[in-house]
Amino acid sequence: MQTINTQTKETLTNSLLSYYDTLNEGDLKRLASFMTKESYLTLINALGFKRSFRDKEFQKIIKKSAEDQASLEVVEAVLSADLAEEENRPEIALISFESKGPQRITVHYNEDGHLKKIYFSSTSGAWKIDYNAGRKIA
Amino acid sequence: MKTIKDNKRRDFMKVLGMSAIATATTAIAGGRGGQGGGRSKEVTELTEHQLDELFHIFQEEKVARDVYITLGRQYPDEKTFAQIQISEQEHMLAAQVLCERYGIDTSDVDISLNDDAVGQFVLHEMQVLYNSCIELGSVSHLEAVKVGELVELTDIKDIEIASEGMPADVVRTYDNLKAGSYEHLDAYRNAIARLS
Repeated sequence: MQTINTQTKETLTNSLLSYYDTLNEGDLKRLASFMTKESYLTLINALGFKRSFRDKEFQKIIKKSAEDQASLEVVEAVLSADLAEEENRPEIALISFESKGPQRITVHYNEDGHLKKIYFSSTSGAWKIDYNAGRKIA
Repeated sequence: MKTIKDNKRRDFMKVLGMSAIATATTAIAGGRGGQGGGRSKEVTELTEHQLDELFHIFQEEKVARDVYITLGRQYPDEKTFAQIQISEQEHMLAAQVLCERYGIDTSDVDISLNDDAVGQFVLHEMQVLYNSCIELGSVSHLEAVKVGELVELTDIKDIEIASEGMPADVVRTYDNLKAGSYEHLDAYRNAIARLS
Protein backbone atom coordinates (compact mmCIF):
# COMPACT_ATOMS: atom_id res chain seq x y z
CA MET A 1 0.00 0.00 0.00
CA GLN A 2 1.43 3.34 -1.03
CA THR A 3 1.50 6.16 1.45
CA ILE A 4 -0.16 9.43 0.58
CA ASN A 5 1.73 12.50 1.72
CA THR A 6 0.21 15.48 3.48
CA GLN A 7 0.58 17.79 0.54
CA THR A 8 -1.27 15.41 -1.77
CA LYS A 9 -4.03 14.98 0.81
CA GLU A 10 -4.36 18.74 1.00
CA THR A 11 -4.52 19.05 -2.80
CA LEU A 12 -7.21 16.37 -3.07
CA THR A 13 -9.23 17.84 -0.21
CA ASN A 14 -9.15 21.24 -1.87
CA SER A 15 -10.23 19.70 -5.18
CA LEU A 16 -13.10 17.86 -3.54
CA LEU A 17 -14.38 21.01 -1.84
CA SER A 18 -13.84 23.06 -4.99
CA TYR A 19 -15.76 20.46 -6.99
CA TYR A 20 -18.88 21.14 -4.95
CA ASP A 21 -18.25 24.88 -4.70
CA THR A 22 -17.92 25.29 -8.45
CA LEU A 23 -21.02 23.17 -9.05
CA ASN A 24 -22.99 25.28 -6.60
CA GLU A 25 -21.77 28.47 -8.20
CA GLY A 26 -22.18 27.18 -11.74
CA ASP A 27 -18.51 27.89 -12.41
CA LEU A 28 -17.98 25.15 -14.96
CA LYS A 29 -14.85 26.67 -16.48
CA ARG A 30 -13.08 26.38 -13.12
CA LEU A 31 -14.53 22.93 -12.54
CA ALA A 32 -13.05 21.77 -15.86
CA SER A 33 -9.59 22.81 -14.69
CA PHE A 34 -9.36 20.12 -12.01
CA MET A 35 -11.13 17.29 -13.83
CA THR A 36 -9.91 15.05 -16.64
CA LYS A 37 -11.49 16.08 -19.93
CA GLU A 38 -13.37 12.78 -20.25
CA SER A 39 -14.81 13.02 -16.73
CA TYR A 40 -15.78 16.63 -17.22
CA LEU A 41 -17.72 15.74 -20.38
CA THR A 42 -19.38 12.85 -18.56
CA LEU A 43 -20.46 15.23 -15.80
CA ILE A 44 -21.73 17.78 -18.32
CA ASN A 45 -23.92 15.08 -19.84
CA ALA A 46 -25.26 14.07 -16.42
CA LEU A 47 -25.94 17.68 -15.45
CA GLY A 48 -27.62 18.28 -18.80
CA PHE A 49 -29.89 15.25 -18.64
CA LYS A 50 -32.88 17.15 -17.22
CA ARG A 51 -32.64 19.92 -19.76
CA SER A 52 -32.07 17.45 -22.60
CA PHE A 53 -35.25 15.69 -21.58
CA ARG A 54 -37.30 18.88 -21.81
CA ASP A 55 -35.55 20.65 -24.65
CA LYS A 56 -34.86 18.74 -27.88
CA GLU A 57 -32.73 21.56 -29.31
CA PHE A 58 -30.49 21.42 -26.25
CA GLN A 59 -30.35 17.64 -26.61
CA LYS A 60 -28.94 18.05 -30.12
CA ILE A 61 -26.31 20.54 -28.94
CA ILE A 62 -25.16 18.49 -25.96
CA LYS A 63 -24.73 15.46 -28.21
CA LYS A 64 -22.18 17.44 -30.23
CA SER A 65 -20.41 18.94 -27.22
CA ALA A 66 -17.72 16.25 -26.93
CA GLU A 67 -16.36 17.03 -30.40
CA ASP A 68 -17.38 20.61 -30.96
CA GLN A 69 -16.00 23.39 -28.75
CA ALA A 70 -18.69 25.89 -29.79
CA SER A 71 -21.44 23.45 -28.76
CA LEU A 72 -19.67 22.77 -25.47
CA GLU A 73 -19.57 26.49 -24.73
CA VAL A 74 -23.31 26.83 -25.39
CA VAL A 75 -24.00 23.89 -23.09
CA GLU A 76 -21.71 25.27 -20.39
CA ALA A 77 -23.41 28.65 -20.46
CA VAL A 78 -26.89 27.12 -20.11
CA LEU A 79 -25.89 24.67 -17.38
CA SER A 80 -23.92 27.28 -15.45
CA ALA A 81 -27.04 29.41 -15.20
CA ASP A 82 -29.14 26.39 -14.17
CA LEU A 83 -26.66 25.35 -11.47
CA ALA A 84 -26.33 28.83 -10.04
CA GLU A 85 -30.11 28.94 -9.64
CA GLU A 86 -30.42 25.60 -7.91
CA GLU A 87 -29.03 26.59 -4.50
CA ASN A 88 -27.89 23.10 -3.64
CA ARG A 89 -25.16 23.16 -0.98
CA PRO A 90 -24.56 19.72 0.50
CA GLU A 91 -22.57 19.19 3.70
CA ILE A 92 -19.27 17.56 2.84
CA ALA A 93 -17.22 15.72 5.47
CA LEU A 94 -13.94 14.09 4.57
CA ILE A 95 -13.45 10.52 5.81
CA SER A 96 -10.27 8.99 4.39
CA PHE A 97 -7.84 8.59 1.53
CA GLU A 98 -7.19 5.26 -0.19
CA SER A 99 -4.36 4.56 -2.58
CA LYS A 100 -5.53 2.58 -5.61
CA GLY A 101 -2.04 2.09 -6.99
CA PRO A 102 0.44 4.40 -8.65
CA GLN A 103 -1.14 7.72 -9.60
CA ARG A 104 -4.56 6.76 -8.28
CA ILE A 105 -6.29 7.80 -5.06
CA THR A 106 -9.87 7.44 -3.90
CA VAL A 107 -11.18 9.97 -1.39
CA HIS A 108 -13.97 8.72 0.84
CA TYR A 109 -16.33 11.35 2.19
CA ASN A 110 -19.82 12.01 3.40
CA GLU A 111 -22.31 14.09 1.42
CA ASP A 112 -25.33 15.01 3.54
CA GLY A 113 -24.86 11.82 5.53
CA HIS A 114 -24.35 9.51 2.54
CA LEU A 115 -21.06 7.73 1.92
CA LYS A 116 -19.46 8.87 -1.31
CA LYS A 117 -16.20 8.40 -3.17
CA ILE A 118 -14.36 10.58 -5.59
CA TYR A 119 -11.58 9.20 -7.74
CA PHE A 120 -8.38 11.00 -8.65
CA SER A 121 -5.61 10.19 -11.10
CA SER A 122 -2.32 11.94 -11.57
CA THR A 123 -0.56 12.68 -14.81
CA SER A 124 2.62 14.78 -14.93
CA GLY A 125 2.28 15.44 -11.21
CA ALA A 126 -1.17 17.03 -11.44
CA TRP A 127 -4.03 15.34 -9.59
CA LYS A 128 -7.37 15.51 -11.37
CA ILE A 129 -10.84 14.16 -10.66
CA ASP A 130 -11.19 11.09 -12.84
CA TYR A 131 -14.44 9.10 -12.70
CA ASN A 132 -12.69 6.21 -14.44
CA ALA A 133 -9.96 5.85 -11.81
CA GLY A 134 -11.92 3.84 -9.25
CA ARG A 135 -10.34 0.54 -10.19
CA LYS A 136 -7.34 -0.62 -8.23
CA ILE A 137 -4.22 -1.04 -10.37
CA ALA A 138 -1.00 -2.85 -9.56
CA MET B 1 -45.01 4.75 3.29
CA LYS B 2 -44.11 1.38 1.85
CA THR B 3 -46.95 -0.85 0.76
CA ILE B 4 -47.24 -4.61 0.98
CA LYS B 5 -47.14 -4.60 -2.80
CA ASP B 6 -43.76 -2.86 -2.74
CA ASN B 7 -42.37 -5.36 -0.29
CA LYS B 8 -43.61 -8.30 -2.32
CA ARG B 9 -41.98 -6.92 -5.44
CA ARG B 10 -38.73 -6.37 -3.58
CA ASP B 11 -38.79 -9.90 -2.20
CA PHE B 12 -39.42 -11.16 -5.71
CA MET B 13 -36.46 -9.16 -7.01
CA LYS B 14 -34.27 -10.50 -4.20
CA VAL B 15 -35.14 -14.05 -5.12
CA LEU B 16 -34.44 -13.28 -8.76
CA GLY B 17 -31.19 -11.64 -7.80
CA MET B 18 -29.97 -14.88 -6.29
CA SER B 19 -31.23 -17.51 -8.69
CA ALA B 20 -32.89 -17.08 -12.06
CA ILE B 21 -30.84 -14.02 -12.95
CA ALA B 22 -27.61 -15.92 -12.40
CA THR B 23 -28.58 -18.22 -15.27
CA ALA B 24 -29.69 -15.43 -17.59
CA THR B 25 -26.63 -13.36 -16.74
CA THR B 26 -24.29 -16.14 -17.70
CA ALA B 27 -26.00 -16.27 -21.06
CA ILE B 28 -25.75 -12.51 -21.59
CA ALA B 29 -22.15 -12.31 -20.42
CA GLY B 30 -21.65 -15.49 -22.18
CA GLY B 31 -20.36 -17.21 -25.13
CA ARG B 32 -17.65 -19.63 -24.23
CA GLY B 33 -16.22 -17.10 -21.86
CA GLY B 34 -19.31 -16.84 -19.70
CA GLN B 35 -18.26 -19.04 -16.84
CA GLY B 36 -19.12 -16.90 -13.83
CA GLY B 37 -16.27 -14.78 -12.53
CA GLY B 38 -13.46 -17.06 -13.64
CA ARG B 39 -10.96 -16.21 -16.37
CA SER B 40 -11.72 -18.09 -19.55
CA LYS B 41 -9.59 -19.13 -22.50
CA GLU B 42 -11.05 -16.24 -24.47
CA VAL B 43 -9.80 -13.55 -22.13
CA THR B 44 -7.25 -11.29 -23.76
CA GLU B 45 -5.19 -8.49 -22.30
CA LEU B 46 -7.03 -5.22 -22.05
CA THR B 47 -5.43 -1.82 -21.72
CA GLU B 48 -5.81 0.03 -18.41
CA HIS B 49 -8.25 2.37 -20.14
CA GLN B 50 -10.38 -0.53 -21.37
CA LEU B 51 -10.42 -2.06 -17.88
CA ASP B 52 -11.54 1.29 -16.46
CA GLU B 53 -14.25 1.40 -19.11
CA LEU B 54 -15.58 -2.04 -18.10
CA PHE B 55 -15.81 -0.93 -14.48
CA HIS B 56 -17.52 2.31 -15.42
CA ILE B 57 -20.14 0.57 -17.60
CA PHE B 58 -20.88 -1.82 -14.73
CA GLN B 59 -21.49 1.14 -12.41
CA GLU B 60 -23.70 2.82 -15.03
CA GLU B 61 -25.88 -0.27 -15.39
CA LYS B 62 -26.90 0.16 -11.75
CA VAL B 63 -28.31 3.61 -12.55
CA ALA B 64 -30.81 2.22 -15.07
CA ARG B 65 -31.81 -0.64 -12.77
CA ASP B 66 -32.37 1.64 -9.78
CA VAL B 67 -34.29 4.23 -11.81
CA TYR B 68 -36.74 1.56 -13.00
CA ILE B 69 -37.11 0.06 -9.51
CA THR B 70 -37.94 3.47 -8.06
CA LEU B 71 -40.26 4.54 -10.89
CA GLY B 72 -41.85 1.08 -10.80
CA ARG B 73 -42.72 1.67 -7.14
CA GLN B 74 -44.18 5.07 -7.99
CA TYR B 75 -46.26 3.68 -10.87
CA PRO B 76 -47.07 0.11 -9.83
CA ASP B 77 -49.65 -0.27 -12.62
CA GLU B 78 -47.01 0.33 -15.29
CA LYS B 79 -45.82 -3.22 -15.98
CA THR B 80 -43.07 -1.99 -18.30
CA PHE B 81 -40.97 -0.90 -15.31
CA ALA B 82 -41.50 -4.19 -13.50
CA GLN B 83 -40.46 -6.19 -16.58
CA ILE B 84 -37.50 -4.06 -17.53
CA GLN B 85 -36.05 -3.73 -14.03
CA ILE B 86 -35.57 -7.51 -14.01
CA SER B 87 -33.80 -7.31 -17.34
CA GLU B 88 -31.64 -4.42 -16.09
CA GLN B 89 -30.63 -6.53 -13.11
CA GLU B 90 -29.42 -9.12 -15.62
CA HIS B 91 -27.54 -6.44 -17.56
CA MET B 92 -25.82 -5.16 -14.46
CA LEU B 93 -24.79 -8.65 -13.39
CA ALA B 94 -23.56 -9.43 -16.91
CA ALA B 95 -21.36 -6.32 -16.76
CA GLN B 96 -20.16 -7.48 -13.34
CA VAL B 97 -19.31 -10.95 -14.68
CA LEU B 98 -17.30 -9.27 -17.41
CA CYS B 99 -15.42 -7.16 -14.85
CA GLU B 100 -14.62 -10.19 -12.74
CA ARG B 101 -13.49 -12.15 -15.76
CA TYR B 102 -10.88 -9.46 -16.31
CA GLY B 103 -9.84 -9.39 -12.67
CA ILE B 104 -11.63 -6.17 -11.73
CA ASP B 105 -12.72 -6.01 -8.11
CA THR B 106 -16.37 -4.88 -8.05
CA SER B 107 -16.90 -5.22 -4.31
CA ASP B 108 -16.77 -1.42 -3.92
CA VAL B 109 -20.20 -1.09 -5.53
CA ASP B 110 -23.24 -2.05 -3.46
CA ILE B 111 -25.64 -3.63 -5.96
CA SER B 112 -27.92 -5.17 -3.38
CA LEU B 113 -31.64 -4.52 -3.45
CA ASN B 114 -31.71 -3.19 0.09
CA ASP B 115 -33.64 0.02 0.60
CA ASP B 116 -30.50 1.91 1.54
CA ALA B 117 -28.64 0.73 -1.58
CA VAL B 118 -31.22 1.27 -4.33
CA GLY B 119 -30.87 4.85 -5.56
CA GLN B 120 -27.57 5.43 -3.77
CA PHE B 121 -24.41 5.90 -5.77
CA VAL B 122 -20.95 6.52 -4.45
CA LEU B 123 -20.06 8.51 -7.56
CA HIS B 124 -21.53 11.99 -7.67
CA GLU B 125 -22.17 12.05 -11.44
CA MET B 126 -24.22 8.85 -11.24
CA GLN B 127 -26.17 10.23 -8.31
CA VAL B 128 -26.89 13.34 -10.39
CA LEU B 129 -28.13 11.20 -13.26
CA TYR B 130 -30.31 9.03 -11.03
CA ASN B 131 -31.77 12.04 -9.17
CA SER B 132 -32.55 13.77 -12.48
CA CYS B 133 -34.38 10.70 -13.79
CA ILE B 134 -36.46 10.38 -10.64
CA GLU B 135 -37.28 14.09 -10.53
CA LEU B 136 -38.41 14.04 -14.16
CA GLY B 137 -40.26 10.73 -13.85
CA SER B 138 -42.10 11.83 -10.73
CA VAL B 139 -44.01 14.47 -12.69
CA SER B 140 -46.41 11.98 -14.25
CA HIS B 141 -46.79 8.43 -15.48
CA LEU B 142 -46.23 9.55 -19.08
CA GLU B 143 -43.09 11.49 -18.15
CA ALA B 144 -41.81 8.43 -16.28
CA VAL B 145 -41.95 6.21 -19.37
CA LYS B 146 -40.39 9.00 -21.42
CA VAL B 147 -37.51 8.97 -18.92
CA GLY B 148 -37.20 5.24 -19.61
CA GLU B 149 -36.94 5.99 -23.32
CA LEU B 150 -34.15 8.56 -22.82
CA VAL B 151 -32.26 6.29 -20.40
CA GLU B 152 -32.27 3.52 -23.01
CA LEU B 153 -31.15 5.84 -25.81
CA THR B 154 -28.30 7.06 -23.58
CA ASP B 155 -27.35 3.47 -22.66
CA ILE B 156 -27.24 2.40 -26.31
CA LYS B 157 -24.93 5.30 -27.17
CA ASP B 158 -22.64 4.64 -24.17
CA ILE B 159 -22.39 0.93 -24.95
CA GLU B 160 -21.56 1.63 -28.60
CA ILE B 161 -18.73 3.94 -27.53
CA ALA B 162 -17.51 1.47 -24.89
CA SER B 163 -17.43 -1.38 -27.43
CA GLU B 164 -14.93 0.35 -29.69
CA GLY B 165 -11.65 -1.52 -29.75
CA MET B 166 -12.76 -4.13 -27.21
CA PRO B 167 -12.03 -7.86 -27.72
CA ALA B 168 -14.66 -10.24 -29.05
CA ASP B 169 -16.01 -11.50 -25.73
CA VAL B 170 -16.58 -7.97 -24.42
CA VAL B 171 -18.17 -6.88 -27.70
CA ARG B 172 -20.44 -9.92 -27.60
CA THR B 173 -21.61 -9.07 -24.07
CA TYR B 174 -22.09 -5.43 -24.99
CA ASP B 175 -23.98 -6.41 -28.13
CA ASN B 176 -26.32 -8.47 -25.94
CA LEU B 177 -26.78 -5.50 -23.62
CA LYS B 178 -27.46 -3.25 -26.59
CA ALA B 179 -30.00 -5.68 -28.06
CA GLY B 180 -31.73 -5.72 -24.69
CA SER B 181 -31.73 -1.93 -24.60
CA TYR B 182 -33.39 -1.80 -28.03
CA GLU B 183 -36.12 -4.10 -26.73
CA HIS B 184 -36.57 -1.86 -23.70
CA LEU B 185 -36.70 1.16 -25.99
CA ASP B 186 -39.53 -0.45 -27.97
CA ALA B 187 -41.38 -1.25 -24.76
CA TYR B 188 -41.11 2.33 -23.50
CA ARG B 189 -42.17 3.71 -26.88
CA ASN B 190 -45.22 1.45 -26.83
CA ALA B 191 -46.02 2.70 -23.33
CA ILE B 192 -45.61 6.32 -24.47
CA ALA B 193 -47.99 5.69 -27.40
CA ARG B 194 -50.50 4.04 -25.07
CA LEU B 195 -50.43 6.93 -22.58
CA SER B 196 -50.27 9.83 -25.05
